[in-house]
Amino acid sequence: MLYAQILNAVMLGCTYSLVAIGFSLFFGVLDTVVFCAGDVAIFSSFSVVFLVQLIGFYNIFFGLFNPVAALLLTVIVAAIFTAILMVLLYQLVIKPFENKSSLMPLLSTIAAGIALRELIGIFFPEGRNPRSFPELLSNERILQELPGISWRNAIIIVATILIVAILYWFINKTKIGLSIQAVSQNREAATMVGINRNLVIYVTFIVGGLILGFGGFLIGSYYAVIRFDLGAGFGLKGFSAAVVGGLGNVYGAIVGSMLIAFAEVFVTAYIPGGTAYASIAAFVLVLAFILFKPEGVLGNKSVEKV
Amino acid sequence: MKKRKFFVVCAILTVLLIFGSVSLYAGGAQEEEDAVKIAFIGPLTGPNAAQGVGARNSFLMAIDEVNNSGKLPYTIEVIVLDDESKPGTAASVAQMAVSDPDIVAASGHWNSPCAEATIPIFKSEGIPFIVWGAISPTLTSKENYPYVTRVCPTQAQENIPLAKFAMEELDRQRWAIISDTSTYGKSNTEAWENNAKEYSGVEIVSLDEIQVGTTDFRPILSKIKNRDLDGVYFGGVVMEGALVRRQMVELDMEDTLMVGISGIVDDKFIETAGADAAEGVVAVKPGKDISRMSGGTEFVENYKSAGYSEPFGAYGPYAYDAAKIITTAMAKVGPDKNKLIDAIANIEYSGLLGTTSFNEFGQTENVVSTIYVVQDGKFVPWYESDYEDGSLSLPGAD
Amino acid sequence: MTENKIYTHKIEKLLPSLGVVVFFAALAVAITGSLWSTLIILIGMTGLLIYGEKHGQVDRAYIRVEERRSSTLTVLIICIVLLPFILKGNSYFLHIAVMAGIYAIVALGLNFQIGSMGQVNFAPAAMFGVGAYTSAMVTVRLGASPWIGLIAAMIVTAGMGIVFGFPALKTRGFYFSLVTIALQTIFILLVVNTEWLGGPNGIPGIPAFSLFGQSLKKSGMLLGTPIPYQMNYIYLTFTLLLLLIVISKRLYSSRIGLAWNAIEEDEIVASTQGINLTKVKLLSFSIGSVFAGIAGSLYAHYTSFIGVEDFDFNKSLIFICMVLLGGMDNPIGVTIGAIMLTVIDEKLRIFADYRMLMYSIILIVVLVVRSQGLLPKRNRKYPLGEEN
Repeated sequence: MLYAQILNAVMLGCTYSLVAIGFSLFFGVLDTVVFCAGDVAIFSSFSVVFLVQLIGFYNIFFGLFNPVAALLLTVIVAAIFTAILMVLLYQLVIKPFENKSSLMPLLSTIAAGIALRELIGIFFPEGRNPRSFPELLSNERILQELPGISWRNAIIIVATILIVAILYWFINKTKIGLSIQAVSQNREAATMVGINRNLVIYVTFIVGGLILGFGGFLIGSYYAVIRFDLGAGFGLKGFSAAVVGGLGNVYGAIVGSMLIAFAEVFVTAYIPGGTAYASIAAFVLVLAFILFKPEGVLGNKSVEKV
Repeated sequence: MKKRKFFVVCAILTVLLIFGSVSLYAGGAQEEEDAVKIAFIGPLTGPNAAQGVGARNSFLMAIDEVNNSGKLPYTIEVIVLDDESKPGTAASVAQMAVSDPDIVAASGHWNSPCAEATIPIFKSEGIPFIVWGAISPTLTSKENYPYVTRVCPTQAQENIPLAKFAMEELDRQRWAIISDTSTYGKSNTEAWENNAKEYSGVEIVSLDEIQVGTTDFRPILSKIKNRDLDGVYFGGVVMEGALVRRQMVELDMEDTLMVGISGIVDDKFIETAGADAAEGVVAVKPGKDISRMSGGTEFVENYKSAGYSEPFGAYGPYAYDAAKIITTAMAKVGPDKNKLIDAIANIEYSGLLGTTSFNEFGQTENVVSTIYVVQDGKFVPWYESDYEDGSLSLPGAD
Repeated sequence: MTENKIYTHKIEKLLPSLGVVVFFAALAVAITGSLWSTLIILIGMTGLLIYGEKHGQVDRAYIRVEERRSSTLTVLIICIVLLPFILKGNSYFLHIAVMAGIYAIVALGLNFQIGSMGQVNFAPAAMFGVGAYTSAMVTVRLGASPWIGLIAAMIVTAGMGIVFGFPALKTRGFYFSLVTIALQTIFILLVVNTEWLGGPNGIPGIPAFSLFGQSLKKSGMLLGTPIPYQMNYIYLTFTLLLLLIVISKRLYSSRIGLAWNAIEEDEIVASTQGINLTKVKLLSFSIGSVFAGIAGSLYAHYTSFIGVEDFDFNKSLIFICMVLLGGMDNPIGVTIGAIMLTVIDEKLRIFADYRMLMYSIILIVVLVVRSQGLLPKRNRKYPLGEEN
């Protein structure tokens, strides 16, 4: 059972971690919390549902795609949709508050998240009902001797690691990635050495949008049932994970996600009657971190800027 | 000069307002017509919208039929109100309903807390109220009689036959319970637990309560997987139910029986869980199967031809009969709420559900439930299924 | 020209009273009218406020109110007394007014944190719920009088305010907001999982307030026409609301209000100026929570049933919307914002599917277009008594 529960926790952590990375990435560059990340990820899940229907339609009439190409195409197009949405959201609800109190983008992105959720509910056909997510990743076991490791679970874990690895390469080895780091470390100094801050912000939102897009796909695949309002829960858990890991630290986000996932799973599994309190356990963990170690697990203890 | 402009604007606005209010008052006075209204309340938006919308359509259909038949010398107008599954909203719309003096009767609610919130309001205004879908036993009581009556069974009445079926017919003994923490899930689970324990040898192995909106049941399922279960009872609705069944199959628990309540008897459950995974899931739904109801096929046809796009759901027939009970009583004593109270409480009405009459608490005495099983991607009544005659066997059958 | 001036002056003296009357007339039409007339009234009022704000009339109105405080107050009280009658004695319209009053009280309390101190508290609905549940438990389980329930609610929420405020000592900004979101969620989960608090079933049968042995839930008769019991609650709610507005305004002009604003500007500078951060911050949460507690108690004893669905995160967001729309750190503005949103909300019942969408769009539009709210914060004017 321990083995199965560890696997459950790792998988749950993976579904949280891409959303959490989104939070951390945006926070690093903008110093503000983009609260609608969870809803953006669920938007991506719905895009996948939409695209699969569309591709199914093309397949019937034109026989155009082989399954793997169709899968990749679907996921990439959904991620691009999500990236476009993210940039739009930046323009509409984050940019107007550039130099104002940082609480305003927090409020406006929460509102944008609700608006997004409600728009899916209203405009997606039967949007308020739960819908099944197409089974794009096979649920067959890879090895009969290894229970729990299906192709899908393996792909989710590998994809998460791969995305993080690409992100690592992008942030540390490319010029624009280094500029993102520079801006998140010191905005004024970065501008002074000639970094185009606007460009950096847009690139961050595109990258973040793509990550959330893949995240939405993985979430949808893992649960196989999605609903318009799931984004609120994932947003909250993702943000909590980012805080536990240290806001602004991308790797911390993964650690935070795993911590929260393990807390939830193990309270459910090993405390009698604990299921009802699993979410509370996660939030208590967050409260403890905020109060006693606000810089998170991996964050740097920053000196208050006066 | 700017100052004066402001005063002018103010003055104009005041005059407009006064005229406006006067005309509104006058308009209000002229509105008096001979209208007979009844109110329908249900969750038309929010998490339980599917239940409320089907019931609303059925209710409206019943009233349309009465109006078109010309049996009553007046036309009945239905005021449709949405409680959003929130007691606060329910209380608000109930206030709206009782403030209209033309409203002579009301029917409402799928959520028991909403009914708890509105019953005092209707009662204090002396308006007869028929519950079409809320299942908490406390709603119908000595204090609320004869104002409040209920056409649907309570949670206990739904779970007694299910427990009997599972323990006696299927002879299952070791159960795990997963339920959501809504009133619906919790009260059903409680009723099930109490009923199940009355059978000798029955053991409740575990009880897990989850929030509505939970998506990951694997930790719970992994925990109970190797506990030698005969079955899993799920107290909740479609979304979580489908997830539980799907993840059970994923964790190689497809040989464990899952039983549920009316909340999962919905084609959406099979669609979202997948027909293969859902195969062999047993659930109970109050009332006879629609094809066995007198006039059931007619109801289905009429419903289709009326052009409603949403399915009528588990509670459609109850709302339909609630509407018919109100109009039958009205035909007897006229559209007078004071007379309707007793007329409804003492009614003996034969309709879709069979013969409905109310006991001294206002609870229907006509209680039938049907056990369903998923076979080939459909909920089929047990007595019609291939499982009954043994040509198919349920998960985990010896 | 001189004649003209005197004439103007006379009218101007009447301006505050006139304004109050216009406001109440507009409110009455907004509540009783159809959806369209309500929208026109509200848009008209919004336009007038923004116009007046831009051209300084609102400032002048404030001065006039200060000059003729007693007469304005008299007119206001007369309007409140007449309110049930101009709402045609219709129980639903009166219900809207009562709810507007109750929500306005919560919004006033929330304003101490969001408006004065710039800390976004996402848990006002939880605090509202704590008040409602305390009052309900004290009366239903212990059988005490609802008035005792009200006092108990105030005491418990004051304590809870300190508990909620404690994280604010160590954190601020997002961290603080996340703490309040977590507390809001924990509150809902705890209530749902606690059988003693009614769990998901809620608490039915909460008794109504009674005064001089008369239950406030008794419909009366006046001049031969029945008057719904909501009238009693309108008087109770609006009396309390008026009292709390006065308290809020006093606090705003006091040293405490100044200290809150200083914290909003810069916490560190504030503390170097000798402001006791701990005390002042906790005060803000405690007082704000007591307001919410009073409102919760009123709500519980008014509706006679409370269920946990009424205190969820969305409700918190609606309260935040009220404060932002009305005007941060301006009690009158917050009250107007709360009343406006409550009325619109009731009028838009038929569009329930679009309600949360509407709130989110209002929030975004207000933030982008007019982040200071309809009736923004006023400059403090202190009399220069001592120097003269």
